[in-house]
Order: sequence, then structure tokens, then C-alpha cells
Amino acid sequence: MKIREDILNELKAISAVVANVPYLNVYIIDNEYFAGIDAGLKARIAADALTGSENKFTVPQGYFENLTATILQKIKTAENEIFAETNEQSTLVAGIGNKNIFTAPKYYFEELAFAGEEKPVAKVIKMSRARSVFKYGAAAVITGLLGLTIINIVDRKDVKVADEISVQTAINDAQKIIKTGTFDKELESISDKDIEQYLQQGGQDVNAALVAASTDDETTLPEASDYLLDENALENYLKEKNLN
Amino acid sequence: MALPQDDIELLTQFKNEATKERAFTAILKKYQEKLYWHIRRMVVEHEDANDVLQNMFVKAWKGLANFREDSQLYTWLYRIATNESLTFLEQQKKRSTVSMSDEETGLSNKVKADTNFDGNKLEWKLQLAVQKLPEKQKAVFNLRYYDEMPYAEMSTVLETSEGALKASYHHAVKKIEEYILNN
Repeated sequence: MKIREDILNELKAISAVVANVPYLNVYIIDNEYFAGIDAGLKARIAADALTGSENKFTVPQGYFENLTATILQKIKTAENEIFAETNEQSTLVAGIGNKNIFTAPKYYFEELAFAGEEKPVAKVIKMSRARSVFKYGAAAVITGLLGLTIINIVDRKDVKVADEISVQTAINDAQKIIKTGTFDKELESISDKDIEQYLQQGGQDVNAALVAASTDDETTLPEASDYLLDENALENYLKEKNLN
Repeated sequence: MALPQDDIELLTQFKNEATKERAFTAILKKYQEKLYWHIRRMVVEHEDANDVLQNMFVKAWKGLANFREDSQLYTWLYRIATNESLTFLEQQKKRSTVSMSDEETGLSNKVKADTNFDGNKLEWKLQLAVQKLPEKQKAVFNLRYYDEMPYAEMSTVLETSEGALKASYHHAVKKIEEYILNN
């Protein structure tokens, strides 16, 4: 057994120590081993062909076609069994059924799915900063009321009290505004004076509404400590907002 | 690289039912010793080598009909043999409740358990050092040192670039040198 010249040279370049190790096969086997290996192997191949390596399991005919129906049938049977068992104990309780009466907070499961991930940030729609503070006040106060058209009806000089027909018309118009999504457009069409008048007629505290509405995400009210440090903190804030 | 003429003939015969078995026996006779020693150096014990060799030839029997003649038959057989050896060692490791380093010691112990083992002889020290190598690096060293395989063919067998194989062989030799010098 002799190492090939190029392999030896390569080895010498890496390690003279390893290159000097006698090039011998240290393992020994029976001389007969290789002579008999083909017979043993043929027997294995023949046995393998007999047993085969492919899937030997079979399923009844039509098993997969009927699998869905079978599973659904099982679920139904189980439900019926529960009903029958409960019915035996109490007809009244069984009659009530097992419908879930609890509800989870809106978007609970959607938010749950984001647990551990970054939560989606709610979309913030800003109102135009160009609009007067009166419009913010109006938007804040009329939320929850029937609709913007009521303002117009109440405000009209010729209509002292909104009669039933007018209210119905207002509701219809409000629904139309909601459907067409023209809230901003309708809001633009109402003057500051009309809004103020409407709020006063409705017994709303116009100033409170304006202060509340004047704070948006970019404006902060004075901090608690600001009041301690400066007794005019609130007054200054109102002045700044042109509200006092 | 073109397939040797005798391999082409053997493959043609293998695809014919009448001559299939005879052709396979001829392939077996031609490559069995080389493949046995390659496997034996990987798994150490004869019984294990015999099992792996038989498994690899059963796989060769099944895959030979689809063998693409644009590759070398012997590199294809070496690939099966190497993969079977690595799978066998992996299974041994999984079965073993001892840690990886102990598993390597296990292979070293198998070397030491050989009836002809002589710890003072360099060739046995080299075998002990080889068993300490990571499995794929061991395959690289054995294919180059004992089977004298060109890097291009090793690249086909181990599906690794020639450059990476040269680097792997270099590291293997250095590790073996270190072991021999320190033991």
C-alpha cells in the first residue's frame, strides 16, 4: 500500500508529521468476506422485493371520500349525547341550550393575535388645522346626536320647534350623510355662529365644549405641576387658545 | 466527465430485465471493496460497516434504473455510501444517551477494541485522531488520504465546493498532527 505522489506532496505541505505516518490499512477483515457479500446482498434485495418498502397499509374503499361526513356525524352524535344526558337531568336546563351568552370586547381576538408582536396602530384622522376652533367644538358635541341636519332645522328662523316630520327628515338626511361619508363637507357648510347658537339652545356649555375640543394630539393641557408653579397656568392656556 | 465504457455497458445491461442481476453483481464486484473500506473507516466496526454497505447497495439497486449517465457511477456510489455512513453515525448519536464528546470517545473506543490495536504505532494514533474529527471532515480526510480522490470528484460526492474541501482537508490534517504530537 503506497500513497500516491501528489497526495503525499500535498500532505507534506500541510504537515510533515502526518506525511510521515506509515500509510497502512490498520483494519483487517476475513478474506472470504468479499467473496460472499454478493450472495448475502442478493438475498436482502430479494427479501426487500418481497416485502417491499412502499406503504403496505390500506384503507377501506371510499374512506377518504366519506371522511368529512363521518367526522361531522360523530360531532353531531356527541352533541346529541350531551343534550340527551342533560335532558335526563333537567328538561328545563336542556331546553335552554348551550348558546354562548358572553361576548368579548370588540377586536379582543384580533388584538390577542398580535400579542407579542407589535400592535397595529389605530389610524388617526386629523381634522384640518385651518378650521376654526368652533368646528372642533361642534364636532365634539354633536357626536351621538341625530345628525348635522338637526342643527340646520333648529337654527332656521321660520322653524321654532322641530316637528315630527322635520325630525324624520333630519334622521333620513343624517343617514344619507353617514352613508355617503360627507360629514366633513356638511360640517364645513355650517357657520361658527350657527353652531354656537345651537349649542346654547341645547343647554350645552359652549366654553367647556370648546376647551375640550381644542385639545388634539399635538396640543397638551397644562400639567398638574404647571398649576403649582404658576397660578395663571389655566388663564395663560385659554389666552393662548384664544378662548377666554 | 464521461462514464467509463464498462460502466456504460453495465448500466445498459442493468436496464434489461434479463441481464439486470448479472450486471448488478458485476457492479458490486467492481466497487464493493473500495466502498467497504470507505464505510469501515467512517463507522469503525466491521458489523456496522457490513450493515451500512448492504443498505447502500440496496439503495443503489433501487436507484440505478434512474441513474443519469452524465455522472460517474463510482462517485454516485460513493455519495450513497457516505450519506449512509453519516446517517448511521447520526442515528448512533441519537440512540446514545451520552453527550457528543462521549460519542466521539465511543468511536475511539471502538478503534481501541480492535484486536490488532497498538496504541504505540503511529498508524493507530492516526486512526484515533481521525475519529475525533467532525463527521463530514472525517469523510473529507478519508476520501482524500485513503481513497486518493481528486477534489473535483469529492465535490460531487459531498456536494461541497472544491475550495471548501481543500480548506476542510487542511484543517483535518492540522488537527490530526496536533493529536499525534500530544498523544
